[in-house]
Amino acid sequence: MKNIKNIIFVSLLTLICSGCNQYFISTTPENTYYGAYNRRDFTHADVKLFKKNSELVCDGSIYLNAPSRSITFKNDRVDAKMKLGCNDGKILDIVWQLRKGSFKDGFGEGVDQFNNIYKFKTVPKSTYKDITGDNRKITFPNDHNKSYLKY
Amino acid sequence: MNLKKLLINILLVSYIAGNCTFATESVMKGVDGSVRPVKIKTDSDTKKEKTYKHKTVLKHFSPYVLSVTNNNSKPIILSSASELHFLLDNGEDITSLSRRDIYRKTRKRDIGRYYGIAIPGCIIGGAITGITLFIGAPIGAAVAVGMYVPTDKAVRNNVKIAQDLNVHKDLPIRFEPKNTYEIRILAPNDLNIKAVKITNASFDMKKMYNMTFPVVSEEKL
Repeated sequence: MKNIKNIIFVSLLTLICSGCNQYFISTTPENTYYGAYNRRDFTHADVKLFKKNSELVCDGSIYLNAPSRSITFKNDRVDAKMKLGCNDGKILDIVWQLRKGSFKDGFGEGVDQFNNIYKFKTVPKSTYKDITGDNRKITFPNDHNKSYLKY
Repeated sequence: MNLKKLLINILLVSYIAGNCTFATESVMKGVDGSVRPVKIKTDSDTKKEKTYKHKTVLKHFSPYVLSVTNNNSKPIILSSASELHFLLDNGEDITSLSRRDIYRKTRKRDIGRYYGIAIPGCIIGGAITGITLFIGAPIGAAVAVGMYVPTDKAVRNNVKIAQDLNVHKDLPIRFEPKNTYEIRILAPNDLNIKAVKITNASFDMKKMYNMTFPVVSEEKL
């Protein structure tokens, strides 16, 4: 009986902790910006972005422009739109191409409100750590009132 | 000597006064726009695609469309501090929820709500399969289809709501000159809105302006 309880507890814990961060870095400007997103439901993920050697922090959301539950074409890349607000007043509007089924493995391109161009690509966690040298744990608070992006 | 003091004082006062005016928000000129309530679909409506019909949204919010035209020669840019406010009949000023929060409040839960049907359904289906193979299989199939169809419908509706908010009628980060933008606004149901205000808009991120748009009569989209 005790074993069954333990198994149920471990399975529930695995289910709760199964949301993994997908890491990404900027290719233009080269490796200057880096961050991660965490999928929240079938269409949305929360995002955080940092700038190397800077206090700049951005957050916001990314959403997939297609239902990911379709049986066919799960590996196709579809549009996903990322909007971020930063603590210096900047807003980024990036369009990603992500795999429909996994919400991962893609690349994105977009601009801020001054028309500066940004390009991003997803990377594995190990590559992300090597490039950024940043070991901080990226967490996503549930309270969106504290987000930099107000609307 | 007195003249020098006077000059310094004048410069000091003009500097402080100048900074004071920059710190306050002014009203943006050269912007046209209005907010129109959107017709909600009723049973008698025939033009289905031109009315707003997302029931999960309508439970909490009333849909509006804000049209904005920038008549200035320079683009208007928003910042991360830009907010959307509802100005009410009684003079109150209410800050809108963010688009992310609006979506979270209006989406239909896509997995969790069907566990209540799926788990007992599977147990009963499985138990019957154990007893008679011929009856169990179709019941199992019915449970699977019964789970899939409503979940799929919820996901697809959620996608349409998200697309409406973020693709078709998104708030742009930059209003280009001589361009018109249509923006979806979802206001709480119980408010009498007189106007909609966008704060912290600017040309250069130095002097901040407010843009106010009046609500006009109901529109048949």
